[in-house]
Amino acid sequence: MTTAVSRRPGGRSVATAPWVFNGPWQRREAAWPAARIVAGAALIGIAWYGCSGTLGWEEQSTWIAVGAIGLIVALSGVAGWIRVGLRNVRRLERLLVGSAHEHLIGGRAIPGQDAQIIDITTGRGVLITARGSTFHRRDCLLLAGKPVVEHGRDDATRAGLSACGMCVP
Amino acid sequence: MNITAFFRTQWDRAGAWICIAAGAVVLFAGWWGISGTTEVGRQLPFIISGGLFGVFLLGLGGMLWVSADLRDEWRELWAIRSALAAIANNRESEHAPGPRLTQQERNEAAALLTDGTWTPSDRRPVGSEA
Repeated sequence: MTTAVSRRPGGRSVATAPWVFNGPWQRREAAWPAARIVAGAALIGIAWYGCSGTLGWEEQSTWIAVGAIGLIVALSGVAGWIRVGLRNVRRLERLLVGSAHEHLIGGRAIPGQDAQIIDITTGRGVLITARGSTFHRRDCLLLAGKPVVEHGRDDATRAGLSACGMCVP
Repeated sequence: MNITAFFRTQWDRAGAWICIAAGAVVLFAGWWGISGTTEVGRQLPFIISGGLFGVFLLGLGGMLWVSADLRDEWRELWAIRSALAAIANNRESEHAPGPRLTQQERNEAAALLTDGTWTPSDRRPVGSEA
């Protein structure tokens, strides 16, 4: 499934298709709640039309029941719309946090090295976290408080590690 | 921001307020209609047009308001995704311009990343008005 990217006022890139309204709803997910909202509104309209066309209590009570069902259907669509949106936002959050761990913290490491808390203000080599896939400058915020291993830059590069995108060592 | 731009960018919040206001008006009109007659046969249609439809409009307004918040969060997450993709590919995030942080926000970010302590400031985040 492809996702197009468009530019909005303010210069921010946002996802478009297949997301509805640039929000956390895919078309197929949004269709069913939206259909329930429309159907519920239509039922309320039909109920009003039927109820106002007669003065008989029995007929009117039937139309009121139809209207109540319409309201329940419409509000279930509202709840479904919000539920789908919340679910997709949480999914994306989880994916991003997991990806951040993978790309910024976890991943490959130079084997045979034990990470430890060291004084990062001295020394000259680049630093790598215990299972890091990137090497960092000594003052990189992403290393704060983490056990690290010190290496020469060449060793880290030979081991296939890449430079941190934030501190750009 | 002019009114046209506001409605174009904040159509969901504007729609939410319109639906909520319309719902309140419809509920009041329903009460007005019912209180104007003692015939049950003439009162019941107001239950539907004023009561049920008014509650429907209020629910729709609430949904639009929550949707607007979800869309804002979605856009922010998508910007983070683009920045993360740029970092993963080890390149400048030229295609993922995020919000330009003020010095105060940089300080907050530094505190957040170093020891997790963070007190949100009162200001709205940069770019949240778009």
